[in-house]
Amino acid sequence: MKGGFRNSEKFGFKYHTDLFKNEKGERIPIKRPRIEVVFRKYSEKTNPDTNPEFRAFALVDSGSDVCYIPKQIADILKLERNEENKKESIGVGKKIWTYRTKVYLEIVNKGRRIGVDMVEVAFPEKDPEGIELDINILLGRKGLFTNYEITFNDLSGYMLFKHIQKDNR
Amino acid sequence: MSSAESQFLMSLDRDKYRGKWIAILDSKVIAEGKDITEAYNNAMKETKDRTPLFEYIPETEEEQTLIL
Repeated sequence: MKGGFRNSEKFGFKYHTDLFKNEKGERIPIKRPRIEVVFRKYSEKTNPDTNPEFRAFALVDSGSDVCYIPKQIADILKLERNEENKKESIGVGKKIWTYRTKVYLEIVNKGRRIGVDMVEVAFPEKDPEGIELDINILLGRKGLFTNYEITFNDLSGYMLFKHIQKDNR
Repeated sequence: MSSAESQFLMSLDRDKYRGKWIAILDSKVIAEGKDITEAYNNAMKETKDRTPLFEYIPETEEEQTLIL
């Protein structure tokens, strides 16, 4: 995978396809707006000991105020827990305590990394059970949608990302 | 075209890894674990200089609706 590109103007993603079985036992594709991303604590080059990074698929979620990562990923990235930045958050009707901090976000498009910014991220004090927030990564409005105008085309399973110039924010 | 790891994920036989996190590098599952931490620690034993793609393989193959 190539690295080092920053803020390409316009690019697209096909929805990520997961295969499931329907009630007839047939394998069917479910397409979701998930994209490949990389998180690390600082924007500088990764270092497994001082600036580790985590690469995974994340759901592009306009319903989330900020980005969200499970606690275990926050631990891997060595993110600080600052009691002053602890806030109550709501996930699928369940209230959870989350810490807020910033991480560096890159999105991976056609095998190349595109640096987004230091973005606000929430992670839980404890991984909540039963509401899938221990396995899902969410890309919320603050951070991703403040850097890109994102158009969803659910019929064709395609997302278009257009970089928002700083003057237009 | 997506990353090599992402393409490999599409063709992966998932039954072997149900309910686990896996780490993929190039066209290979290099590590697995019951949770993110275990998969990450196992992956770091295999590679230090490249970052694998981590993915959770759901326990069930039944269709699930995602509402977050």
